Order: sequence, then structure tokens, then C-alpha cells
Amino acid sequence: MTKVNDKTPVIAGYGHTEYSTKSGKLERELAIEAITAALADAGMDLSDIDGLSTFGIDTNDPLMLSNELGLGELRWFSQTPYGGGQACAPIQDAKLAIEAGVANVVIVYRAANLRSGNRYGRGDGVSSSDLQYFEWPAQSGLITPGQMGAMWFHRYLHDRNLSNDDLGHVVLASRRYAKRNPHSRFYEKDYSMQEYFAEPWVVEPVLRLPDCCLENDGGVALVISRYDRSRDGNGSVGIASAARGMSKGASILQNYYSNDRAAFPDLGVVLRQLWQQTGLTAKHLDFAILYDAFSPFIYMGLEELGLAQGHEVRDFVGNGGIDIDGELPINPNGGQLGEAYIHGFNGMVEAVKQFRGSASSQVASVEHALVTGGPGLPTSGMILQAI
Amino acid sequence: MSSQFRSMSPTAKVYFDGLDMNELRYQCCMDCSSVRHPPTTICHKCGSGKYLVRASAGKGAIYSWIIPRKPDMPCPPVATNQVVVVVELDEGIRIIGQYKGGTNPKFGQRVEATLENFGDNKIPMFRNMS
Repeated sequence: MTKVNDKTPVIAGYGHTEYSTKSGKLERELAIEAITAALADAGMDLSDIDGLSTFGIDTNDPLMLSNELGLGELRWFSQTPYGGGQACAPIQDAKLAIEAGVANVVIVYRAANLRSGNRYGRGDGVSSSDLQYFEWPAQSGLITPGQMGAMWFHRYLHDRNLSNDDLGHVVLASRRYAKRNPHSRFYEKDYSMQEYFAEPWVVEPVLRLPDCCLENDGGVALVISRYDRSRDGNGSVGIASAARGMSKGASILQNYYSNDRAAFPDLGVVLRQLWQQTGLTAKHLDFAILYDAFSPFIYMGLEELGLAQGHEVRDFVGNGGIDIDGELPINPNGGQLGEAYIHGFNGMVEAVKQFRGSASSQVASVEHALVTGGPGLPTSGMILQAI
Repeated sequence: MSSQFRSMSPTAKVYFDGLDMNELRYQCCMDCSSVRHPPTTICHKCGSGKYLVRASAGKGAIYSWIIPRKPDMPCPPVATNQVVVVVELDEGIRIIGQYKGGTNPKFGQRVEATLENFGDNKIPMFRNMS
């Protein structure tokens, strides 16, 4: 248990829609459904909200939601750039607003039809406003995040004496978790390395189909509240620290232009802030939600966390290091490879479930956890703590 | 020449003006001589805003490579079943393009570029150095 004061920001509740391949709903309906559920979970109602924060790319901007929901006066509203990289940035915004006394209850949310609507896997993610970043790979014919990222992943694997042969361990670990998760399409399904090697290439010779996160429709909302507005810690999770980071010479999924590109330099910028703010290290974490848009992200994340170096990352995962009884359980819901892909937000729901003891694969003792946004571009992260 | 995937970035013009002249252009800092690509206004090494524009000889070694397979999207504009490479040019910059030297690209393979069209865009097409 950790001491909290009145203004300590906490995750007071969560709500989410079904994660499906065809929601049949407008994106605003997904947002409203998720927000309504989150408020109910937190024991609050619409009149409690005085802040909203989401992604810049989310179509549900704060003014629109305020009108749709009939919200009262808002004193904080923001939309953060760089998509899933900034997954934790709305939470950081809410935390800072609350700590500064600007707002009391901020809803952070992400709701999109990422499968039945614009699909990143079909190149629908290349918008005209981001063309200055995407034009280099796009003009040579790479238009999806998987195609762009794979160029960098292949070099990363090569430098570590690894190949796609070694990525199956990450996928199998996520499927072991997904097998126990009723929200996953892989619930109660076995999966073998043999099946993995029979999967088709999405980007040869780096990413097979299961090395890429799922694409689906859905909405998730979290209620970020000052502690004294929450139900006295009941089901609430403390936000010990939050950070965003952009390395020198950062890019969007094109970390091959300079040599000093660590595994995830942007994540390094975030982690140094999180450790410095809390006095914790990776060894203190009871579990981690690492944003897994692609399986190589888990290996790179382990390196950036200092838990394994170079090709050791393969053995760390292959020997059960990220399983429920491993040294650091990672993505116990199956992650975005195995549960759903709501741009990092469904992983936050899993984190809250872990702290409440209601997860499908429950970590035994939960005091501290790390949640990250999408690495490989300007990124974000937070450390959650039991209260 | 307009293109579906070309931004209006004035900085990137350093490179695109070169394509029109059949050159692979890159920046060389006038104060510290470091080279850079993609183009930037300020040198990352020394902070100078003064640079020369040079044309690469187009020779280098494969730094990374991939072959997009799925989904099966129209080629062009997507490089479906094409070998896309990042090549480290001898001048010290890295550049993305496609590889026309066969289906067995290798890290470190020596290659040289000609500028050819892929859809609307002129890009470096690399072949094995003879």
C-alpha cells in the first residue's frame, strides 16, 4: 500500500465496448458506450467530468463529445500527437491537470473502427498531415506501419544474430495468455511453433501474420480522478508517474537513419523519467504492459528495460521469462497480438484488472506495473501503483 | 512533378529537386562536414544552418531489406513482392529504395543506384555492383 494524498491522480474506473471485427457502430457511439461504462464503474456520472483527453487522430474530439453527452464546464481538454506512441500521454495530461489543481475528473479515451473503418494494415493510416514523415518509405512502396517498421526490425534482428525464427517465442507467449482470456478470439485455443512457422508472410522475412497486432473495432475509456473524488481507493489504481519522450533524431518507425539507435531510444527517454520520478527500477515491476504492435517490440522492450541484452532476449522469452510465473509477466491479457488493438488502451484495462485481482491470468502480488505507449516513434509510459 | 506520397515540406525539396536533375542529393554541413539524410534545416552534430548540397555517386551496401507480401495490394503504389532496401551509401548517408538485383538480397551486398520510376515517384533502384 502506498500513501496517497487528496490530489493523487488515480484510475478510478474503466469501461470498454466489445472488441470486434465489425462493431456496426459509429466511432462516437463506441466512445459514448465506453465512457458511460467507465463512469458506472467509478461510481460517478456525467456531471463529475471536468476534463477530456484523447489522441489527435481520434475522431471523437472533446467539443463533439461535450455536445453529444451534454457535459458541464470543462477545464481541461487535449488531444495528443503521434497516435499510439502517445497512448499514455492523455493519462499524463490528466495527471498533470489534476496535480496542478486545474481539473478533478478527466476522462481519457480511444474509440475507433480500426477494422471495419480505416485499416492501418491497408495503408489507411498515411494521412496528408503526416506525409512529411511517411513520404520516404511511401514513395518506395511501403505504406503500412508493418511494412515501414519491418525494415528497421530486420536490421535490429540482424545486429543481434536473431531472425524471424526467433520471434515465434513472443507469439507463443501471447497465445498462452490469450488462451485464458475470454475477450480474446484465441480463447481456449492451443497454438504451436509448428503452426507459427506455417503462417503466411506479411513482410518477408521479418513479420508473419501473428507477428502483427490484431485489427479491430472498439472503444475504451478510463476515469482519471483525484483521489479524494474516487471511492476511497475502492478498485482505484494509483498513477505513480507518467512521461512522454522523443529522442534526438526520432522518426516514425524509421529508426535506420543513424547508428546510435539503441533498441528504443524514445522509450529510453520515457523510462529514465519514470525511474527518476519514482525511485523504482525494472526489477521492482510486478508486470508490464508493453505496447506490442509487432512481436519484435517485446524483444526491444526487454533490452530497453535492461532485463536482457542482444540475443539473450530470445532465451528470456523462450524460457518463460514473460509468462505468469516468469521474472516479468508481460501482457497477461495476450497483448495487442492476442487480445485486441485499441491503440494501447485495452492494455490499460488489463493493468487495472491486475490491480483489482480480476484478471484472466492473475499476477500473484501486484504493487507496481509499467504501461508503455507505442515505441519506435515519440512515445509515452506510466508506472501504476497499488493504493 | 506531383505525387500521391510527396509532402509539401520545403526542407525535403533539397532531395526532390535533385531527382528532377537525375541526382541523389544530400546535405553536407559547411561547418563540421557531417552529412545527413533526410534533409534538415540545422545540422544535428554542430547546430549550423549552413550546408552544401552534394550528389551521391549512388554506390553503397545494403543496410536492410524486406519484401512486402500481404495484403496483396496493387503494385505500384505498394511494393508488393518487391525487394525494398535501405542502402548505406559510400558518402555516409542511408537511403531507402528498391533492389533489382534478384530475389536473394544480402546484408552488406555492394550495390549501385539508378533513378527510375516506381509509379509516380522517381526512386533509387539498386543493382549489384559489377
